[in-house]
Amino acid sequence: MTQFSDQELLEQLRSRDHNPHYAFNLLVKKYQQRLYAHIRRMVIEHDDTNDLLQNTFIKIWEHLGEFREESQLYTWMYRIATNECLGFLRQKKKRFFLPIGDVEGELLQRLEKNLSPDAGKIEKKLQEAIIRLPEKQRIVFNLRYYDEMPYETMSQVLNTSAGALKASYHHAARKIEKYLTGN
Amino acid sequence: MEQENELSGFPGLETLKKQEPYKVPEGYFNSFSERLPDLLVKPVRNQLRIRKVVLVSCGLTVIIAPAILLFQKPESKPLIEPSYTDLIESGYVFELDEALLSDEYSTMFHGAPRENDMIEDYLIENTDETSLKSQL
Repeated sequence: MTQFSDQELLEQLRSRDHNPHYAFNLLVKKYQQRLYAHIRRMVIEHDDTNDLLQNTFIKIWEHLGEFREESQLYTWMYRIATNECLGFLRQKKKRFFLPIGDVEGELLQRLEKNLSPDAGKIEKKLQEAIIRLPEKQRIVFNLRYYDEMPYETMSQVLNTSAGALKASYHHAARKIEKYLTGN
Repeated sequence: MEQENELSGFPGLETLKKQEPYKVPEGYFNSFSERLPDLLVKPVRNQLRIRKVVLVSCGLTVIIAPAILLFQKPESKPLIEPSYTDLIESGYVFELDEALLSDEYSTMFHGAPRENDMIEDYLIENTDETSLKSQL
């Protein structure tokens, strides 16, 4: 299958000569795994991830007309997915009147049954350490560590300066290291 | 490369093999991209349905509300004043107590003598009956 660039997909989505549904399907196929992984690392459970991924793509579809290309398409898509995750976690806290620590506790409880069979003890420990991070640090760490997203791009996703994100990643890495090594 | 340098100070993280930690149901991504087009159409359909319902209910309100107001409005038929014969035939007049009427009449003026009454009393007291007859 030909892999189209984001710009080509955007042109096809906006062009009257092309079927926008077909172009959107190509966009979904191109980004579904990356966005899924990003959401899953935040909410842990597959069913929640599936709902949030659907909502993310529905919002992308509905608001494509408003996308002004001030940022890259995939940055904009990541932003929508991140906002969906944060909204979901906030709703969870509100609905069950949970303090932040209890949401963490719930995510930690879910961790075991959601981990891949290939994941070893050290991998489980890493995930525990990531879940224990503050929300924003968790997003920054995941985007940098797993997606290897450049800070400049991340600053567009999270609307924060690259310097602040660098510091945030460093803090997160230090906390995780401490948790992993027990020092 | 840049990221590896970033992790150089963290040996625990640096030595870890990077892999996606969570299991994904088999064939999930194929079914997801197949299911999604339906989900994209549904919200639009729902929106259209909601718009239709709103429009129809607005239309019905515009038609029904004035009709209800029209029916609820009190009838503004002019009152027909009863004629003298109507009053007599109704027999209502005969049921009135004369004493009650006179009481009502006197209280209407808070018990104060009317000017006409004073003139009448004066005439009765000071008029000679014979001269009055002769004048008539």
